Formats: sequence, C-alpha cells, structure tokens
Amino acid sequence: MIIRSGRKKTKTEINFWVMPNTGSATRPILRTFIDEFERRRPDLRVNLTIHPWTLAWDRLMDVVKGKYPGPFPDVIQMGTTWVGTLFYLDALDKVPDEGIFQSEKDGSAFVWDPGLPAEVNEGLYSVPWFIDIRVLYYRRDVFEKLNLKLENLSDWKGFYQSCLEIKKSLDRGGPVHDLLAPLAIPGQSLSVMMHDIAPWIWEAGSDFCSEDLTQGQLSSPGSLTGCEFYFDLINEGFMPIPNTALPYGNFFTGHYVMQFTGSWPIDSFLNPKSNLYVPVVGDNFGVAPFPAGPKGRYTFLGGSNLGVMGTSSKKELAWEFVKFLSEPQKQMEHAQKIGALTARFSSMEKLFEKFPEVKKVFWDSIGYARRLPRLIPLGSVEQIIAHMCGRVLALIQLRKYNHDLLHSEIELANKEINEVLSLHRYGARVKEKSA
Amino acid sequence: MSRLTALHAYATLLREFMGKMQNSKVLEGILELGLGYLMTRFSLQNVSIFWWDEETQCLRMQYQLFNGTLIEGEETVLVDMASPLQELIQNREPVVVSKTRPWVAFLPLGTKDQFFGAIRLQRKISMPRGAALATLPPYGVSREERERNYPLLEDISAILSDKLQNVIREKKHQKKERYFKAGTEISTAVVEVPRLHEMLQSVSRSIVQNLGLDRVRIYLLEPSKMMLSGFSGVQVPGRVLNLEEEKYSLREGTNPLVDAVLTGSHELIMGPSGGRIIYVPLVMGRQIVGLMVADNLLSQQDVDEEQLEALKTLAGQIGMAIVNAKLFEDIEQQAITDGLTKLYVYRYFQQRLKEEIDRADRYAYSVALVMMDVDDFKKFNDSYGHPLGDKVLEFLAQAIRGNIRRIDLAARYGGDEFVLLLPEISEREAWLMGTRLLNALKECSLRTAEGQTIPVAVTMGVALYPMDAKNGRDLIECADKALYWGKRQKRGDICFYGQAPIHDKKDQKNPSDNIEKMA
Repeated sequence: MIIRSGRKKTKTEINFWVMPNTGSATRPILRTFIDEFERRRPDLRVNLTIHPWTLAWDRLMDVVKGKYPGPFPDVIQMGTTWVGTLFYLDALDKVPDEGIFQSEKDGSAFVWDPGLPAEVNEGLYSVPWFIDIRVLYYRRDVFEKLNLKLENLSDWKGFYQSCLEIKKSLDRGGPVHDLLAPLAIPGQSLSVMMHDIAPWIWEAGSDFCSEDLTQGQLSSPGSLTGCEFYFDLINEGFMPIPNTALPYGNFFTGHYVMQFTGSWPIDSFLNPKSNLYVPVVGDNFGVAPFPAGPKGRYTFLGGSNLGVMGTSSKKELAWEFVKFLSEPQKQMEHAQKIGALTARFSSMEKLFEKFPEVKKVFWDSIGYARRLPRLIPLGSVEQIIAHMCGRVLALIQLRKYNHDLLHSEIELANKEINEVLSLHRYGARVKEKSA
Repeated sequence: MSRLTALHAYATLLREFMGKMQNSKVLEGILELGLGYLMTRFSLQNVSIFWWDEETQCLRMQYQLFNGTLIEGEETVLVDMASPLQELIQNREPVVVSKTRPWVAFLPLGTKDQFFGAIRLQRKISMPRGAALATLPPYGVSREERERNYPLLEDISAILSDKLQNVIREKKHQKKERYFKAGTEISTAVVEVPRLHEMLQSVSRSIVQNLGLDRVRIYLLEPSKMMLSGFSGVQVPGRVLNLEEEKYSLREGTNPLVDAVLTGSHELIMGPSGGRIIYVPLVMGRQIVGLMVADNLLSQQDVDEEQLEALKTLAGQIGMAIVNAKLFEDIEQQAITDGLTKLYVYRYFQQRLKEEIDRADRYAYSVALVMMDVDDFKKFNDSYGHPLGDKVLEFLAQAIRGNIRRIDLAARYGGDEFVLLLPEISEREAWLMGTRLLNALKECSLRTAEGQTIPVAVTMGVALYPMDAKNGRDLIECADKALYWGKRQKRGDICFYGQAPIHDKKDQKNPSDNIEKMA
C-alpha cells in the first residue's frame, strides 16, 4: 500500500480589490506590501485586482447584486463616499471590535473619523487608508512667459482671466511647444465627478443637499452658479475634452498649463527617479490653492477606506490583512509611495520634504477643505452627478451647450437625488433601529 | 527574406500564438496572453482593447496592457465625422493614427457584420518601413502589398477577436440563463404559493436576485377605493421593504406611479431617472391589476434591453397570478369569516390562538384573551325579534373592529359570545382597550328603523398568557371563568381572571361547555 506523504498544502486565498491609485505603478507598489504580508502568513495568498475608478463602483454593485461571476472580493478599497451606500446595502462587514482600529482610536492627529453618517450609530464599517486634498498645479515657466502672476489665481475672476490669456497665447502658437490647453480635465474617460464640481458649488455658497440632508439642492442659485462656472471652462476650450484617439496626456505629461488634483503625482510624475518624470514639468511646476469664489474658498477632501465584504467567507483573515495595511507605519509607507496623505497629519512631513512650498499649500488647504455631505446613499448621489456631468460633456462635445440646457440637466439630476434621498422611507436599517 | 522563409516564419508565429491562446477561456486570461504576445512580438509599449458603443459612437477602453500589467482602462474616444477612426468604424479597416512618436494604430475586432471593438497598438518609436516580417505591421502600404505581406497582425487580431466573441457570447448566454431562472422561479411561486402576499414577496425577491435590479416594488390597484396601494417590495440583497403606508389616490398628478397607471398603457414606462426606474403595468386580459416598479436608483446602473424584455415577459405572468391569488384568498376568507358579523369564525380563532401562544413563547411577550357576551341578549330577541338581535351582533362587531389594533384578532365565538386575541399586550393595556370598547358602545347606541335608541352593553372576561394559564386551552377556560364571574358580579364591566375571586370551585361555571367546543 502506498501512503502519500508531504502533500502540498494549498494556500488560502484572499481577493483584494483596489483602484489604480498610481496608475500602472499600483500593482508593483501594492505587491511589496502583499509580499511582506505573505511572508508573515505563508499559508495565505493575496490576489490583487485593479478596477478603474469609473468602473469600480459598478463592479461592487455587481458583486452586491450577485451579477459578478467571481472570484469575489474579500477586502476592498472604497471611496469614502461609498461607505454609507455599501453599508445600507448590507455589503460590508463590521470592523471587529478588538485590534483592527484600536491603535488609531487615540490618534488625535486624524484628519477625519471614518464613521458612518451621524444618523447611523452603528459603529465602524471601514478603516481609513489615505486621504486626498485638491490643489491647483500650474507651470511657472508659462506664467512667467505670459507675465501672469500667482496672485491671478487667487479668485474666480483672476483664474478665468488667466485661462483666457493662456488660451489666446496657445491659439497663436505659443508660448511653449507641446502645450494643448490651459487646464487639463481631471478624468480620463470624459468624466467629471461630484468631487470635481464640489468646490465650485461650495465657493458659490451652496451644497448638494439641504442641511438636514433630506432634499437635493443642486438646482439652487449657488449650485447653478458653481456649475456654470465649471462647465463654461470646458465649453470655452480652457479645459477641453480630449478626443485625439491618442493616449491622453495631462499636466504632468507636459501637455497642459494647469490641473486641479491631489498629491498623488508627487512621488511618481514629479519624482526625477520615476520613468514618468517629464523634466520640463518637474522643473517648473508650482502649486496654488483653489481660487476663492464669491462665497469663500473651499477645496475637496476625500480619500479611500479599506473594508471587508459581508459576503466574504474569510472575514477573519481578510481583517487580518486590513489590519496589516492599517498599521501606522505601513499606512504611511503606502501613502508616501502613492503620493497620497494618510489619515494622519504626520505623514505629510515626509511626503513633502523635498517640496516645502507644496507642503505649505496642502497644509493650508486642509484648513478650508470640505467633505461631501455625509449621506447614507452618497455613493448613489455621486453616480447621479457623474451621469449628469457626462450628459453635459456630451452637450459640449456636440456644441449644443448653453446655460438653459445645463439647468435642465441639473434639475433632472436634482430630482433623481431627491428620489434616492427618499429611499429611507422603505425601511432603512436606521429607522428600524430607532423605532 | 525569400517568400518561402517568410511564409514559414509567418506560419511559425501564427502557430505559436494559437498554441498560447488554446487553453484560455476567461476574458482576462485571453487578454493577458493575447495582448502580451502582441506587445512582446511587436515591441509595443502599450496595447489596449476598446469596445464599440454604437449608441454614443464611442470606443470605450476596457483593458490595457501597460508595462506588462493588465489593467482596466478609462479612455473614451468619440468617433465623429472628423475622426481619423472613421475608416476603422465604416470599413472595418486598420487605421494608423500617428506615424511619428508615439506610433499609434487601431485594428478592428469582429467581422464586417459584427464589429465590436478595436485593439490599439502604441510604440514609442516610429515604425520603420521594410523591417522584418515578424516586427512589421503591414501598414502604410497598399492593400495589394499588404495582402502579399502576410498580415500577421490582422490574423492575430482575428484569432483574438474569435476568442473574445466566444467569451462575450458565453456571458450573454449566462445572463439569459439567469433570466430564464427568474421566469422558472416565478412560475413555481405562482403555482405553489397561493397566498398573494407570500407569492408577490417571492416574485419580487426572484426578480431582484436573478435580474440584478436594486429594488422591485409591487402596488395593487383597488378600483373600489380608487387607490393604488403598496403591497410587496424587496431590495438587494433581499431585504423586505415595508410599503404598507404607501396608498395613493387615483388622481392625476398625485404621484408618478399613479400617473403611470392612469396612462392606461400596457407597455413598460421609463421613469424620470434616466432609465433607472421602470414602471411595469401588471395586466390580466385587458385590465390593469397593479404596477411593478423596478429600479436601479441605489446602484445607478442602467437597466439594459434584456432586463426590460424579461420584465415585460414576467409582467403577464404576475398579473395573472395576482388575479388567481386574490380569488383564492377571497374564497379562503369566506371560509374563515362569519357571514353575519364579518369577524373570524371560531375554527380560525383556534388556529391563530395556537400560533400566537407559540410566538409569545418565542419572543417572551404576553397575550390577552378577552371573552365577551352581550348583556341581556335574550331580551333583544324576545322584545324586538330575531332580526334586531342580528343587528345588535353586527353593531357590536363593528364597534370591536373600530377599537382593536391591526395585530389583534376578533372572532365570533358562538351565539352572542365574542372573543378577542390581543398579542404583545400588558394587563393595563388590555384594560385600556376593553374600556375604550365599552365607552364606544355607550357613546353610540343602536337605532331601530323606527328611530328607537337601544343601548347595547357587554361584559368582558380577560385572562393573560402566561400569567394566568399555561396553554391556549387553559387561557380560554380562565377568560371564560372571568366572564362568568363578571356576569354575576360586574355586569357591563371588565373582569380580569387574576383579580377576580373566582378560584373557589363552587363559584365556577362548568368549563366543559367551552372545552367541548375546542375538542
């Protein structure tokens, strides 16, 4: 009789879904962390899947609805705006009471708390991973050649005027070869997201919904002003929609004079050691705060959290992996590698050590940074606004854009937001608990 | 290179590629191998796959292989009349977009009749003319030359195209299978679950789960009340929605749901939210019997053509099932309802008593049982005749219905005796409810046809489970004893078993009268 011995033990697999936080570098960066985790736990294997930001929501919804063919995620990265909706859909596992977040509960230096909206006193369903604050990157060399001053970017009027000057100059063939337009559009798929238009709406004195979070306010005068200003930038060719059939460029590839974005390019595009580094940009970039609007200065504060899917069959192991990634040192290392800020202020010191002026702008921006309204169905509202922005971009592309049509689209989106905000009446868990 | 050598090299490469692709069946696997091969063989920097979106005339990037890593892409290319990609879309011909840095070309995917996308190839350096066959995509040359030059890239893209089409077909097939499963489950529910509420719950759940919708709500039309009433709803991943409070008057402009019904259309109606709410009239014959509202408001995903088709097909089945289930429930209702008072019959009361006692044990709450009969009922019959006696019973039943909660149950116990089953209630709450009923009877007396006012009074005996009795049978006995004692000592009032001095055997009515009924 032959007895088989030394049978190879199969590893337990954890599926980890993330978004491309640093483009093609996302995988190698995360691989270093995964490798270290797998060395600690040789019985586990972490499979990494990267979904683009524009598709990740859809994929998660497919998982929630049982439409995704598999393999299913155990650990997920989620936009902070998605946590409420995913919780509402019973998609998330509750953060275990012990261990996972304990080391951070006493951290007074956190930029925000990761809890659910105040109306849901249900504890934690995700752990903060990193945060994102938007500033304006600009080309100092172009500004100098056109005799534009940094102060020009301090308010809407000056910013608009700067865009106009740059566009006029580019249309005449100058001032720098290879430049396409004054401002790079943020997304890469004809998309403008809720967080792109948010600062403009806030700076015009409005918000996406009423203070009691029951009604959409997208069609209020302030919101309309903010949206008009933003979409006019696109319509007037200051921030054109690329349609060249060539791979897109951005500010950091040297094709645009300005771009609103976060800190992510600092350790990639702006790092001379990176193969993405473009010297003309690296040598000449400057950072400015968001231009102030008629009702103040705001910028967007967002980020990503980590969570475990409620459907995971390996919740305990999944949380162990999240705990590993959430160790303060690991979180800081990761944030630094992807050029983001951790949920702790302290990480900024290291990230910006080579760029003290940049640090100051980011640091100051935290002072007027604002989060999106803390709605349970914020993820859904975010999608409604993304669809609305997509329709407006299509109007611009078809050269049909005008303020009346913009208002109609906004009005429609506002109705949809109200529909979503009214969903609680169908027995949301919040009501059931408080009843 | 001689023609024979070139042909041999070509055949070898093609064989190599086909060998690599042979065992790949998953989309990502096919792409990783296929695009990886293209990348290595043709020294490319980036290879991307785009799907063609006919409706928006856009090529939407699905995946790209960048620095050896397959990632999902985020680009969209609008192919308008001025686009250099017109040749690709119109004639399904490869197009070189830029011959300088970076060199970018698009290859069509699919056949002339079934075009579904394109592969984009990108090289940092410009393509040298006359390079070796294996590294030379045959562009920038005439069609005749191209055909002679063994279009390796085109053949590879054709193989890739076939593989991808198979995967897409398989996915569509799986989707259809799920929709078919929904249809089967719904047919089963319609046949096997006769009760309307359970049947519609089961139907809603099946639609949400198999059709991949966020929510399904079903509203029933009540023509007699001119109302559209919420009935059943399920939200992903299977949470039951409470629609009880949703009642809409059938007046135009009241609500989008009502408006959808009032159009009288039997076709699907797209709601206002960009096609993410669908109103599906539920029809039996030519009559609208209800409305199903399916939505993707939370996920904000579009409802696709196949989902719409499936909803339309299911709507007919559901409409018919509603009518059948209502008919069944009407017949069943008749069997458990007393014809005169429209309260439940004794047999149904017995069944529910057992259920409520079990539930009270499980959730640790108390149940009150109230027995009552009309004071001096015999006098009514003797003085005014039996028709007036019936009127008294109807009058009392109406008063009972108006003064109990939705979860309570009232039944005609027999003759002029009635019984109330009050779950989740304390002694004090039971007393308050009884007092409310007594007051209601005092406040509105019965009027005869001649205008004469006849006061109707009752006496109640109340027992509580588990305080007074260990089971349903004992509970009836205790309430009956309390009523008997009340009739003698506290007529027209409420008497609680626990408070009444009725434990003396000689004082008790023989309980066998009622126990016999239970046997």
